[in-house]
This record gives sequence, C-alpha cells and structure tokens, in this order.
Amino acid sequence: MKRYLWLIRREIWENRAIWITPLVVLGALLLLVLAGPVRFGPIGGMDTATPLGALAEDRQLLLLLLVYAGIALVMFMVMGVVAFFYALDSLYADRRDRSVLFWKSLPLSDADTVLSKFLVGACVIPLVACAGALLAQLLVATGGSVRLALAGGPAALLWQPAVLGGAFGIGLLWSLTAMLWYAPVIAYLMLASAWAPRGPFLWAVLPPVGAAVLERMLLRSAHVGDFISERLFGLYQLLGNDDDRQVRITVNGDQVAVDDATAREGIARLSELDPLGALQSLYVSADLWLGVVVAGLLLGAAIWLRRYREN
Amino acid sequence: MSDLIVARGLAKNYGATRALDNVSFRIGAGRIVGLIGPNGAGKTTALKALLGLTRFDGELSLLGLDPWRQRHRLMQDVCFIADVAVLPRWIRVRQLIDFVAATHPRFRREVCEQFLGRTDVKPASRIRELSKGMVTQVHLALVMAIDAKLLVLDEPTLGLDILMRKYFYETLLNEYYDEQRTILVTTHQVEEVEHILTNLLFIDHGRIVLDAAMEEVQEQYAQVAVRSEQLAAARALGPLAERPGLGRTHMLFRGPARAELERLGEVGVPSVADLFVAVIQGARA
Repeated sequence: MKRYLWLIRREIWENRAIWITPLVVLGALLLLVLAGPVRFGPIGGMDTATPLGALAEDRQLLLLLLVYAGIALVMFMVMGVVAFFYALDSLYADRRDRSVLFWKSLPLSDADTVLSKFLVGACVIPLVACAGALLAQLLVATGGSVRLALAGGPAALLWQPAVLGGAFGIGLLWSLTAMLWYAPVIAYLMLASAWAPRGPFLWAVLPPVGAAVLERMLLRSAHVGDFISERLFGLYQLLGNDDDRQVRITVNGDQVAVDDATAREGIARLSELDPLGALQSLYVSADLWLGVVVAGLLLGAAIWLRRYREN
Repeated sequence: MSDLIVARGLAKNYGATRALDNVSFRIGAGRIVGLIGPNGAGKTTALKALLGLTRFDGELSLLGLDPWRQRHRLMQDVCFIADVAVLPRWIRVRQLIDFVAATHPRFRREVCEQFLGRTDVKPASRIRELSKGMVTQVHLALVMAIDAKLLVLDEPTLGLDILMRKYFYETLLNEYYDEQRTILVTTHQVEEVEHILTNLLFIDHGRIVLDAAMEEVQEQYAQVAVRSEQLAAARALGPLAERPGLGRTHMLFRGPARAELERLGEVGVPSVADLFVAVIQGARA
C-alpha cells in the first residue's frame, strides 16, 4: 500500500500536467468570470432573454444544474486529453531516456509499476478532474453571485444547495463511471506505450484508425469507427444529445437570464433528460463490464511486455 | 567459500551473432571481479543476463535465484549501475532519495545523505540541471547506501574525467567494499581498476578466455624487461607477447621458472592491460 502511494507520487512528480492543467483551466475560467458577462453555453448573441427567476422552480433547478454540469464537462474533457497523453507516454518515456534501467534496478515488480501507472491514468486523473470541476463550479457560483449582488440582483440563485450538491454529485458519479468506462482505453494506450519501439502515438492511433478507414473503403460500413467513437465519446452522450438541448444562460446586469431562442425548443426537452437513469442503464449494460475485462487483459499484456521486452 | 554466481553453458544469440558462447564461470562472495573484453565481446550481454534483463540459454544462478524468472526478488540483494547517465532527468535529488528510501528495504538514508553532503549536489536540483560528474555522484551515493550483496557496474565511469574516475573507485574500495560484498565491474579503462580487483574474467567473442584470481595471475604470468643480448634466448622460451621499450624488450611469459626468467632481465608483475592484450591475441591466433 505504502509502496503504491510512492509509485503514484512519482508519477505526479514526473507528470506535472496532472495538476497544472486543472489550475490553468480554473485560471482561464476566473478570467472569464472577471471579464465579460458570465455566459454559459455556446458562444453567441443573446437576442431575447427571459430572467431565470421568472421560470418555474423545477425548471430553474434543471437549467442551473445543466449549467454546472457543463462547467464540469469542460474540466473532464480537458483532463481526458491529459489522461490520453499520460497513458501514451507512461511506459515509453523511461525507455526513451533509458532511465528504465535505473527503475529496474530497484526491487519493484513490473506489475507494480504498470498497475501504479494505470491507477494514475484511470483513477487519479478522473479524481483530480472531479475536484477541479467542483472548484470550477464554486468559482462560477462565487463570481456570478458577486456580480448579481453588486447589481442588486438575486445572488442566492446560483447557490441553491440542491443545484450545487446535485452538480457535484453528477461530477463525482461521472468521474467514477469514467474510471470504468475508460479503463480499456487507458490500458490500450499503455500497451501501445510499452510496445512502441518509438513514436507511441502512431503505434496507438494508426491501428484503429487504419482499421476504420480500411473498413470504410472495402466494406463501405463503419462498425469500427462507430465502436471507437462510442467508446471515446459515448459517456458524454449520457448528458443528452448536444443539438437538442443547447441552453444559453447569462449572468448579465442584475439578472440571470435564459436565452429564449434555445429555451423555447430546449426546455421542453430538458425534462426528458435523465442522467441518473442513463447511468443506471450503462451500469447494467454488457458494454461497460466487457470493457473492464478487456482492460484487465490489455494490462496483463502491458505488464508482460514491460517485464520481458528486451532493449 | 560459497559461490554467489554460478553460470554454466550460458549462451545467447542475436540473430546470427553469438553474443555468448557456452560461457561458464563462478564468482565467490567477497570478490571484486573485473569482466574485461574488447568491444562487442559479450560483456554487456553477460551482465544483462545476470541482471535478468535478457533471456539466455544455459544455467545461471545468483544467490540461488534464477535472474530471468525471479528478477524482482533478486533486486533486493543486487544493485547495479548500468550506465551513469540513466537517472531520470526530470526528478529532483531529494525526490529520488525519498523514493528509493521508501521502496528499497536495504537503503540507508543517512549513508546516502552523508555521502552527498560532501559533494556540491543540492538536494533541490533536478538531475537534468547537474553536470555529468554530479549525476554520477548522486548515483554512487544511492548505490553505496544500499546494503546489497552484489554490486554490478557496467562502464560506471564512462564519460567522466580522470579526477572523478579516481574518486569513484577510491570511494568504492574504501567506503563500500567489505568482505561480505561482491562487486562485478566491466570497463575499458583497465589500468584504473586493476589495483582493486581480486579476480579477472576476460571475455572475447562470447567466450571466457581467462578466469583467474589475481594471485594466480601473479604466480603464473611474468613480465620481463629483456636485455637485448638475451633476446634470442628469451624468444626461445615462447613469450606470449613482446613489445619494444627503452633499451629493453618487454615480454610476457607464462610457465617458465622465475630463476630462468631472471637471467633474461628484470622480472615484474604484468599489468592487466598487457595481460589482456596477450591473452586476447593468443585466443584469436
């Protein structure tokens, strides 16, 4: 246990992007909050807007929850990119600079090394993303409510416990689910990292992309491509199809307002949105658990390569 | 004395190249062994096999363990410097010490810190900020603080200046080595290690061409500074090698009685370098 903590610590020492990236995202968010009107949702003009306070209470909650979830989403997507490159480099960087021989001179098993790196990619990074998302939500709540208060508006609107609590709950559930859902992706990238004689990015990306392109050319179908995009982005679709539910909310002047154009079409469908139900069906699906099994097999292969590869 | 390393019929091919060809040797506990050979002789392959870093044919046991199958267990008692440059460049010296202290059961932190305290290395520095000599000092400090039964050094002083090399071996001998520890070292700079070695292991074309303790070498081999008038008589005794010197011809003999050699000129102990050249040339002839 103690050994694993140190192994994980080593990874965080080496890969500073794990904690610097969320700080950069938070910093960017802070600038946004300090600068213009705090606007959530796609960038665009606000032709007509309805004050959020004018809507029914359950609609308010739902809309704000969606806003906070959107903020979390930004953090999760950025940290997803961090996890991708972390895993890709995890078993390659020390072979490239030959420090692998130093690490191998310590009485640590290759299984411990590989598993600790997997834990960082599959668990530590999602947890950091979750904490970063919470901070981002608090930042927006603070910034938004201060602006509202200064303008004499309803500052408490952004601080409703049901909304913030709900948003954090969704964030936590999301990151826990992401650990399981992305486990095979992380394990696959680590296998490529352990295998690649050089250039692990190409070794990781070319086989699946090549397979998808070949399939499209030869069979004119897209099963491989669908499979890959389902694994990479399927989790995000649980929050609903973006096109259907775009909502623009702005803290502007003394009110929190929702864009009428999106509200008219979007809000009706919002009530259909059911992230918890979607998560539930994900957890009983074979996809999730088969992925976990595949992750185990890929990790086994990565450990084997790390242990027995000669170079 | 118990054997720490037993190798029997060790073989390894890289494609058509025989890196190790039926190599057998034993190394007893408490020895300092120089594994010496020309480039491409199989030194590094032999060390890799010993450290469980490469697959091999034949039998090999270190401390009773199979290095290929029981590598991780073996690393508790074996320590190695494969090349001085391999410390991770991104890590800070302090982090490195913390990490090794936490993961190596035989690491004695105070020894390491005491050693580093005598150098200019700052604990907050990253490895990439240090000079090559300083990186070696860090690596050496780590290794010396590990209470290992076997220390394997592969060209440990490559790229270091003369002062650092001298310092390295002095420290190794004075502060690290004791009767319990075994050290196996490969190097091209034979003259720097010859006074610390207890055993010689010469390797050429994947074969062991000399396996002897220093005392045996001194008994069996002799270097004679032959006076010019004795040249013919000396050559009749079949020297292994000869090279011209100042008014003398230096010849390396194996076998003839000492009294007989003394008549030819001054008799001395051959240097490992001379012995190496003679033995390798002899093996290739």
